[in-house]
Amino acid sequence: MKTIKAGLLFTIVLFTFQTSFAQSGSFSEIFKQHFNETVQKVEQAESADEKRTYLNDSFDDMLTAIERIERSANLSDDEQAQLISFKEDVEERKSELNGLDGFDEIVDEDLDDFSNFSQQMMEQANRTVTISLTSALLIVLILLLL
Amino acid sequence: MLLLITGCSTHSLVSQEPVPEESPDYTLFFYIHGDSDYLFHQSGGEAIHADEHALDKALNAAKKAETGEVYIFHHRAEKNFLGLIPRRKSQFYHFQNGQEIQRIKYRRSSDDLFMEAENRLHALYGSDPDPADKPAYFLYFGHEIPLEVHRGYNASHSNTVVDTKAFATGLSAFIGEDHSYDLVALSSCSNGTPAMAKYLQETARYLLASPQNLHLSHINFTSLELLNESPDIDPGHLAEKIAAESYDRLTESVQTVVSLAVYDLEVTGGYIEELYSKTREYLNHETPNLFKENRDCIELPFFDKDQYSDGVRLFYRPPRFGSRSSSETHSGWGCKIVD
Repeated sequence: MKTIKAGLLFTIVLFTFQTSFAQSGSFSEIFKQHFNETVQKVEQAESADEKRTYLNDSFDDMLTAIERIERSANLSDDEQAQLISFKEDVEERKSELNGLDGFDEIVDEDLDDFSNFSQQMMEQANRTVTISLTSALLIVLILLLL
Repeated sequence: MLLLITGCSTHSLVSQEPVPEESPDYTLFFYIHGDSDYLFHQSGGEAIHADEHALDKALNAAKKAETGEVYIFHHRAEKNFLGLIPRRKSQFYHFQNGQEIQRIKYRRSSDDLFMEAENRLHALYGSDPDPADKPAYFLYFGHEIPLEVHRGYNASHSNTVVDTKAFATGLSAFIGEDHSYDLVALSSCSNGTPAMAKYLQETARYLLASPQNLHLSHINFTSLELLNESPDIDPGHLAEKIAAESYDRLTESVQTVVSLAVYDLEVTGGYIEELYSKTREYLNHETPNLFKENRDCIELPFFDKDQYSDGVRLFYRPPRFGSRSSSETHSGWGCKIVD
């Protein structure tokens, strides 16, 4: 009986370990998954105001998460440079959406395309955002972006 | 013992048929980097891992390479079972005349240089001892090859140095320093640069690369099938066909910038040292953030479009949105620039 219990316990621990590891994801994957949900919501929204709200909320959530990382994580110079680059891109998208910093405001009929553009910018092949974060900080990130 | 040294212990001869006796007419190398985040989403929200997507396309191309020899390296993240037992996640495929003859799982050691494990595999299992007599093409799929020494390109073994020089060295080792590729095609962002053209000057006749960003759905390469009919096809012509078909698909499906350039390295060789030195000098003085996306080198004070445009054929469309949406033209050269 003891052997069965030990075997069962081992299986549970193994499963938990493997599952939690698989779900933790990387810094950039978490942001991509978050923004993909935004893009889907924007496409399904019926009014332009609703689309704008989804996009602005999403950009704000990402900026808050980035600021949390800046404050809490001990980043190398390279990681800091990557994070700044990523943050500036999100800020630029937000400015463009709202017609700030020299941009013309995105007109209502272009909101879906702009949402796709923002997603594609984030998912370009140069995005080697290799910031190493602790599991605890990754969990905080996920919660902020939920 | 040999297998222990290379770290590749699962070696399978996958074909039940005898290995084709006819000598292949050309060689294709596919290097697919998957040891990083390659997640992207299609317009319906479906999640795709770009390296897996590229592998499917490469395997399909290998089956259609009826008169060619094809090597595919899928470099994946190293994983340990329970954090202790190393697992072989990367995979090497070898095709000859459309027939898969070997499939080997492997892992690299933490001391390996970039592409070193793959160079060893090719030296051990490549069936053709001298592919240099035949046309040879190299296609790379991955993130931007960093301009300067950068650690962290490989998510596992993050200390491996990956930069333009290390890339050129690893790529050259497959065919030997005395030989060169007819075409090196880089399905990556921001590698259509003076540095890449300089470092590949002796290694390739033509370079296909993107001076700006390139979406993760990557380049198309169905035109490679033309090699079956005409293995001696002009590689510059074939490069332009690959660029054109990729351009057509990307301009239909993405809102971001589309830029693909074919560099005739024999022609650009006439000025590449000068252009590289000037961009290098600029970097030393201005130190831009190397993680920012490239900009057109024409924005640099010394850049003369008339002087540095020979040998560059560009397929370009500006992004639909963003600060560069009104940039209707491009020099074909990408540079890191201070804002």
